[in-house]
Amino acid sequence: MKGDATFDQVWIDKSALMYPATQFIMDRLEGVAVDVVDDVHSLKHPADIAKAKRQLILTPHKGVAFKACQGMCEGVVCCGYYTIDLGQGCPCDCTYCILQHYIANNPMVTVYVNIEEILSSVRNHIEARPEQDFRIGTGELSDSLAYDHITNYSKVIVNFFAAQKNATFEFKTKTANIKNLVGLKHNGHTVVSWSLNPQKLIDREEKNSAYLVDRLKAARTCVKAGYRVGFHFDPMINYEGWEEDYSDVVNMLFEYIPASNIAWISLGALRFPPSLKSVVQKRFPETKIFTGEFIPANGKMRYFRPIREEMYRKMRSWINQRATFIKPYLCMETAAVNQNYLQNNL
Amino acid sequence: MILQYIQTNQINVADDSFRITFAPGLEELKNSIKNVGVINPITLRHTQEGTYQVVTGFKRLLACQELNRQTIPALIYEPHDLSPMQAFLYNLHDNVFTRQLNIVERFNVCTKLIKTFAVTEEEVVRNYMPLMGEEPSYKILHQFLALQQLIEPMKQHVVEKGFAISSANRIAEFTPSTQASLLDVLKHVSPSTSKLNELLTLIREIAARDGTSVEEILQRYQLLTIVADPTVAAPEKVAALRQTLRSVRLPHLTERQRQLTSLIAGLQLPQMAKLVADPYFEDPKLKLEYQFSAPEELTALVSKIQEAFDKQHWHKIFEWYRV
Repeated sequence: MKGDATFDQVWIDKSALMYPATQFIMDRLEGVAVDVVDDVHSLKHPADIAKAKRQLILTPHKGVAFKACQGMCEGVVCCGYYTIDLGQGCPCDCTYCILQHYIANNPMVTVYVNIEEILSSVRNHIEARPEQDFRIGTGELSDSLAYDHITNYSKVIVNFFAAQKNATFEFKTKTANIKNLVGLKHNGHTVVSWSLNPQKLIDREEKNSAYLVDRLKAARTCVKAGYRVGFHFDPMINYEGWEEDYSDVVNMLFEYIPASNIAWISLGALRFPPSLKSVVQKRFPETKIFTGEFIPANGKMRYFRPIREEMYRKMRSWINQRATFIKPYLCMETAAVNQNYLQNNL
Repeated sequence: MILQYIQTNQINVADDSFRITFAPGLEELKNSIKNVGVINPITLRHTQEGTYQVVTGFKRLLACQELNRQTIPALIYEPHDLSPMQAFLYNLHDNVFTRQLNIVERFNVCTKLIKTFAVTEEEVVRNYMPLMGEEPSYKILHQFLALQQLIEPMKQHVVEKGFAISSANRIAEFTPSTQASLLDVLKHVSPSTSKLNELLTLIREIAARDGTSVEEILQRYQLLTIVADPTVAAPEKVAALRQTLRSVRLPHLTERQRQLTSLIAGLQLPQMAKLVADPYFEDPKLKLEYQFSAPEELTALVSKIQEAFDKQHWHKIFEWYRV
């Protein structure tokens, strides 16, 4: 792709020049200003997040790129997920995005170019634990597929996991950027997942992401390509009329995707660290996501327990009306809510 | 520079080019001038138009005018001896080394440096914020600059009540007419910074949620009536305001808290016993606290607990709590 409109500037760490991914990516960003710097850590990031999103850093990842999901903290139940950092930052500009807080000091987009080294460390880890089944994803600090037309990383990843016996890899996205996935030999070890919300919320709170219908069409294409697909109703947002909108999304999902091809569905009500609120209100003064009834719980602001329990209960019933065998799981919920949910006490 | 006694009516008080002072308290100064006169001369800058601009000593001049003094001692600079920027810095240093500037005065300093004297934000942060005793921080500078949006009576109130910059910033986010309505409520109460910020946030969020104006919220929930009652003490007014707003903002939570209070009352526990629940109902555990100093007091508790068991009150609480 020539003259890609995604970026205005690329910064290349000198040490990234030796990696083939750097050249590969630069070939796809022809016409974009490029500077090679001794150390990308010394770069001054623009304070304006929208401007920062238009600058790309190419660098090798120098720390631990494969780790247990950050959701594993005291009092909160995590699904046992592992994450690989192949980049950070995202072209989508969701109002509620935690990255606005999490990478506030370095908001420029980063792609780690030493993908082979990173995947090699993943291989060492999972091969040393043959008794364990790993679920691994890259959607923690970025959208898994948003830059795939530039990096082609999906091809490397699908190929890598096709050969792993005890691991399933998940691409998690809000885009319809799945062109590279079609035709790859994945051996059933890759799941492609979409985060879903009513179109009304996508319009209002998920700027630069794909339309709901386009996400579902992309999912259908992946199903046709033999992939199992996943869906994350996360974050679910509570507002007047949410029931009708979310039940419509559930129905729409099953109209596009046969239930038997769904690997998993997760549910997660909006939660956020208290300090995110002021950042968001400054960037998106019109947002209404904070007008719900939030209380502090486990270091985050969450909907009052009966509200989120009602959301989970109703969502599960709508999903089960269409597919009784699907057991939606909760993402990063408190132990008490999770226990009630699993015991069908909600 | 010369020292002269100048007719006060020759000085252009309306020219506030170098002025920082806001909402000065003049009574003590007036008493002092009445007793011993003006000890330190003010500083004036003679303009090419023949008027006098005040460089330092606004308060002394205002006090003299209120005392109907005809003249005031002044050190006078000719325009070529003192540039406008120098004059401003004279006044700034004269103030910061003799007293603490209030937040509107800090806003005045930052705004004049940037808008009138074209000083860069970087320079203000690096050189002038520490001079005013502030951290050299862009965030703090922007907090001060945001006070531009405060209406004059609100500025006055903010200074009189000693509001923190965080509260003043929250108020500055409201429109001028909303600020005027808020002022009607705020002048009846003196909440702590955290309480004030909470109240302002609650009001703003209710208005946003209900898609209505803050004025409508103030009216609908009769907030002015709550605070204007002269028979109620100020802290109780704040508590009543908070309770009203929280019950509107968090209706499910406050209703549940009310239900729990009623269920606990049904247990009829001894006075020194307290059944404590997580105020947000996240933690399913309940805690019973009891202070006693004699075995009979312990027996009384056990007996009350048993009585409540017999009447199924405990079961009711646990069943209710689980839902």
